[in-house]
Amino acid sequence: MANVEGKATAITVLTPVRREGPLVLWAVFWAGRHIKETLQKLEQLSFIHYARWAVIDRFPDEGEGEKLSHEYLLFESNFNGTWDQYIDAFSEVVPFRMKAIWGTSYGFPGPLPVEPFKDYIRRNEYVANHYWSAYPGYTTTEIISAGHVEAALREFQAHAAELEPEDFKRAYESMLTAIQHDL
Amino acid sequence: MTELDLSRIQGFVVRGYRLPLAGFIFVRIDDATRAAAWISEIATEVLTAAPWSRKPDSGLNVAFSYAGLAALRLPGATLASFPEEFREGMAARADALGDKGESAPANWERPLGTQDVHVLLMISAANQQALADHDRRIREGIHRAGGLTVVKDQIGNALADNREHFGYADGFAQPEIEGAGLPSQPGDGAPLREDRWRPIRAGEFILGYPDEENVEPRAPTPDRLATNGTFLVYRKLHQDVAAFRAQLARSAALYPGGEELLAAKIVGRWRDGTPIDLSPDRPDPAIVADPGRNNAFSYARDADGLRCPIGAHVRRTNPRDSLPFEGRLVNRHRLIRRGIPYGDPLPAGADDDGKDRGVIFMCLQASIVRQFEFIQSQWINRGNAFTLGEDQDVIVAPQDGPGPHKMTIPGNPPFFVGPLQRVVTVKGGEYFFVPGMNGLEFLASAAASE
Amino acid sequence: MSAANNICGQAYSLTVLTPIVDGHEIELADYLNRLQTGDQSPLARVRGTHFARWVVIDDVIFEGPEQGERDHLQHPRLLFTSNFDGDLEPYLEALRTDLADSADSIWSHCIGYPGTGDPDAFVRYFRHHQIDSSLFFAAYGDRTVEEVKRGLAARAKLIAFALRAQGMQAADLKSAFLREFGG
Repeated sequence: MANVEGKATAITVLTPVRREGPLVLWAVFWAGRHIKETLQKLEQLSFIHYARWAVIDRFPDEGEGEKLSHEYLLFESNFNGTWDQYIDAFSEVVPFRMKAIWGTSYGFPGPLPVEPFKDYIRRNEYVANHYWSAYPGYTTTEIISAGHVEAALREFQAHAAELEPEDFKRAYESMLTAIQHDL
Repeated sequence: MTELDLSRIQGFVVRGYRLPLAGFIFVRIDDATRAAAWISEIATEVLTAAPWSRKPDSGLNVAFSYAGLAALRLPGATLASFPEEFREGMAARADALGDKGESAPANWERPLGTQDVHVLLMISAANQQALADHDRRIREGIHRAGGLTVVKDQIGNALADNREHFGYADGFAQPEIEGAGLPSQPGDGAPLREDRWRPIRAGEFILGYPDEENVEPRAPTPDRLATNGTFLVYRKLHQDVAAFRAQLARSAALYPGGEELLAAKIVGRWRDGTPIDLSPDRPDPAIVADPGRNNAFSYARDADGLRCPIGAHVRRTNPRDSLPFEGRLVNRHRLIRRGIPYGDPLPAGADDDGKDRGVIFMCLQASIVRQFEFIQSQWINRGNAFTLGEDQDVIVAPQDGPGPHKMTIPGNPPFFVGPLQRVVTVKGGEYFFVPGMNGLEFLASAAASE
Repeated sequence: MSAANNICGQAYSLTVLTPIVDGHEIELADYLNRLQTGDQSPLARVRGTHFARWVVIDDVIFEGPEQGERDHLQHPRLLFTSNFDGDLEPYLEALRTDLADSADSIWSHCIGYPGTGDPDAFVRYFRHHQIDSSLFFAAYGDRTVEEVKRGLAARAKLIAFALRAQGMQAADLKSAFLREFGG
């Protein structure tokens, strides 16, 4: 399946945007960039590695670019879990954001209930011909946890050798306790 | 609130019968017309969810695989309207379910995993005599009808004290279904704030009723086939009791709290069923005996898993309120469980005797992919949803991939259970459609019209 | 100003849409579909790449009468997206030198592609066909590919050690730790 690499799944969606859409999208994405809470829920969903939205006003060509009668919204994401689980979670957890973003596209049926939303995404989705990940065996949360573990380990290693065995054991257990949710 | 049409829904969907014996008869349909007549006949004795005046000594329920529906010669459009995972059958879903190595369909007990499993008859019985009598009547009926072949049998038998083979009392948590008219137990429903719960919309479990999105779930067509029906997952799981005990003992030797506490930590309940969140230090028979208490807990005050570890079996399979977004990531992934153990117990301290024992795991849901498959593939076989890395469920998961495999028992300091081996092997299974009484009538007439 | 939206932490989201030479889209799609995935993918050679994909877009989707005019792309497009470390120009140079022949095999199907011979022309082509992101989400945008992999290795090592070392006496624990992790 071209859209799956190990634990990572790719989704690429391109939708035609309504006349007033680009202006609304500008505001929505501005909020996304400047208001921390907006992206917090995406973080909490914790299965998205990277995701982007881009508004295409002209499709680049050799000259000034091809202008169609509508602008287009591109969504590209790299996440863990299946396509269905991803859309289910978006629909369940951030329906207002989904509406704010895709409400500006033609044909959007609303984020809830989820089945028509899934039909909509499927209709507007392009399967990647080639998809690649630098670390296909690992999920987003593992990577983030690994960062915490590495930092804690490095800090511990800095003075570990100097400690007497009993103190060493206590410090070692302290370290494990501090990072136990990342192990 | 929509009331369930109880007399049209098969009984075991709405309530567990709590009968100690089960006889499973797998049937292949060789002649659709004769099968139709037979379906008409057995439909009259199928046990429905209509309230009992007296608990029966035995009851019959029936379900059909996709191969079975196809063998009944249902119209192509009807067959195509069934969900993809059901049409593929459990064996084809091995990748998603992690059924590899010894659990791979190639190693399953035949004919499970093949196209020969069409109908599953389930006899629930109060004692051996009742089971034998009912079983004989069913087989006589099959023989009389003709055009049907019994391809497999299986017996399930409850163990003493409601235990399963690893020694844990089972079956406490079942979803509270809206409109079922059954007395509700605290903890069974969808979590609200502050240790309160609400019933779950019936459409999560039964087709033709509104679900948690307030719409009727996608269902096969036509309506009169699907409504009051549901999907059954049947999965025979062999339990390597000696290996489990050895694994537990090895880890327990290093665990300050001792073996029984460790056993409680990996599951989330003490062996007698006491939820560890309600009684962190010792089992409490008074809690177990009280249905108002034995499932009434939330993880709201145990976010770090210091009482019930985040990777504990019951917490993985039903995270309750411990996932973010107020249960919205949980309420659509609940299961009705109806399993029963099989095989003779392994005496305490005994070596593995090579005998087959385990559990016939069964669950019911409106969507196999969103409910059973999701829980198995994301909550049991993986740790990502709980920020548990690659950790898998100690009891049921395959412990595949590079390893070493472990489970963290949160604490100061944390304790690591492992290296973990697989202790449960899949011997075979299938996905079935459990028609309502209207669905059975439809199947009988559709197959008859040739 | 809008180019800044391509960045999150030290991660960059590159979106490139290049027109495909008429009649070449099937051959190109086929070539991409057959590319080896994983370690053998040409993308594995491009340093700093976390996730990347190629998607052949035949045409845009029409969402029905409400949309009004049916849009058609004059040329099918090749979409290339990459989530990578650092700045754009060094990465484009890495594409040119690390992808090399593979870049030619793919983009030679696109109108105006100058080849990998001329560094300036290559960069100009990609920048000309670049679409800026409106919103880019990176779950661990501060970590490079190397840092991600190092962290994952450190975490795996510590978990394996913690399991082995459980119950060890203090002196044994200390010497085992120092043997495994150095001082």
